[in-house]
Amino acid sequence: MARRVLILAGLLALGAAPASAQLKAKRKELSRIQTELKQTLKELDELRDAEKELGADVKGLESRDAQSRKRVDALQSDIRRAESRRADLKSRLDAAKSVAGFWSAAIASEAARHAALGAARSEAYGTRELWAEEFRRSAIVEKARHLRGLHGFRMKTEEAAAETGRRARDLDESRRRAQTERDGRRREYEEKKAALEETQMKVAAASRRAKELEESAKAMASLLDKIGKAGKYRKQGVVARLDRPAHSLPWPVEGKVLRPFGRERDEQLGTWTVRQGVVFAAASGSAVGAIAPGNVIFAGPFRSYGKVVIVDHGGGFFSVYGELGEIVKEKGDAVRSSEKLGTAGDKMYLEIRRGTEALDPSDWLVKK
Amino acid sequence: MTGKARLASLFALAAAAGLAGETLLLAERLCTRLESSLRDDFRVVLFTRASLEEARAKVLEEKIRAASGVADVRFVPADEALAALKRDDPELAESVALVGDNPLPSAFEVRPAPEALTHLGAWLDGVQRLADWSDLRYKPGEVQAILRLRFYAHLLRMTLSTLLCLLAGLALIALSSSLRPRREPVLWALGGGAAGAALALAISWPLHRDELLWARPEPVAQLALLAACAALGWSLSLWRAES
Repeated sequence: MARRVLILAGLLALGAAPASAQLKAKRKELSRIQTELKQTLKELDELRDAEKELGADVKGLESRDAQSRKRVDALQSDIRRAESRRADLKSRLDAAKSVAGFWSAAIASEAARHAALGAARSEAYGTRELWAEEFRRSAIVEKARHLRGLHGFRMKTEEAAAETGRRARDLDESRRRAQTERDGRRREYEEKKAALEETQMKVAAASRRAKELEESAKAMASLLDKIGKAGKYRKQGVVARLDRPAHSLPWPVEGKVLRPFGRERDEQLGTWTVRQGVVFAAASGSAVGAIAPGNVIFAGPFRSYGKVVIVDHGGGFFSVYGELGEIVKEKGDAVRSSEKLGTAGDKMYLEIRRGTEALDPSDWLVKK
Repeated sequence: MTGKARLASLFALAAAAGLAGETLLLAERLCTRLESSLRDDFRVVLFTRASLEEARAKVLEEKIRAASGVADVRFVPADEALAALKRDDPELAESVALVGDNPLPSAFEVRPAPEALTHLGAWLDGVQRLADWSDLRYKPGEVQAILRLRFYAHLLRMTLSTLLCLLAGLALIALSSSLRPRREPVLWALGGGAAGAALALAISWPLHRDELLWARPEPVAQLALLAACAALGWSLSLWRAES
């Protein structure tokens, strides 16, 4: 944008200011642009450092996030295994309970039968009965031994199931903690990433700005060179001041100032912008009038300014009306003060120049 | 009293003596037989704590056999015992042995000598010291039955002996008064004794269906009983003639 402004300024300057005064003014502006360029480059370096730092942070966070994810996955897997083991143990426990119940009933029945047969047996005859009796007794003892074994197994299984349950709960707690930690890191990562993207945008904007400033400096140097050369055949002296009192010129459009003249900090990007004129907020289609009488020396589209009208007010003073919706004058038309030049888009741009030097329009327009 | 009536009463007296004697003989024989049967059945079963190797079982068997008061001993391996049990009572073997292959331990079946039964407690103490048995089983009621039967048989034998001695004494008294034996009373008494013995046999005959409760008296004892009855008749006829 600065480049375009400078080019416009160059165009205007070629037809107006005396060479020596223009040269001085241009040098002053070049100095300002160079200072601006240095400051922008410094900001660019700082932003690049911040970008590197943020990039390293983001990589570190990504690495930690991957580790956290692995840990969470491992814990999930452990929990699944623990739950599976717990279900298996519960199934075994149920089976053991069922079998123990069966054996208890069998032993009780066997013991009752053993006692009944013992009571009914012949005390005075039948050695073979001793074998049957011993057989029943041994079977009961063996079943009881199995039952004790089952009881022991049941106790151990219950302990193992309880231990597995505790382990599953611990694992779940660990997983929750790890997940919370991971979520925190994820948030931090997202914040850092957003900050990185913002910084990258700032770096890109600053780079563009630096490039524009460099080009502006080159254009200005070229313009100075041209003005220097033009000064040899242009004999008109430069007008020191506009022959109007301050704050006496009418506003070119009904509205309010949207962007002021000069340096303005872009809070979003954290960069500085130098504006050579004022941007007005205006209703779309509202009339745009000349701030003073003069002749139209340019009318038509000019790069990103959109439709532009330049009015020469004489004495090296020019006014530039940019971002117009419609132009109603043509090059060479004489205009009076407040005469309609065209209509505004949703906003309108105004520059006042004395030769190639941009003046702050708010110093000349009527106060509101 | 006429001669015939005297002979008839002599016959009746000899028949009563024959009946009583034969009954006593039968009872004594039965007791002896029952005792023998119970002694044949009676075993003390010594169950081992663990399954024994064949060599170890042989050694232990010989040690038991060498112990005093042991009539017979037999080692019964667990498998053999289970097979016998399955053969005798397959339902029991299948319904009880649900767990494991064979819950039965190996064992020694010991038949004590008859004289050892009177002091079985001491005998068992001696046998128990021979090894570490898991269990020792026998039927105390069977021991008591054997000992009681032995006592009753002995008592009956004593009674019979006493009666025979009494008859022998009467015969000697008769002989001391007259050495001429009279044929008729002896025959009548012999017939009465035989009739009494036959009656006793007839009364007890239904018992022969139960082998355990039936015993045939020894032929010698039968002859002795008939001789005693004859001697009784002869001595009484002499005594009556003199009086």
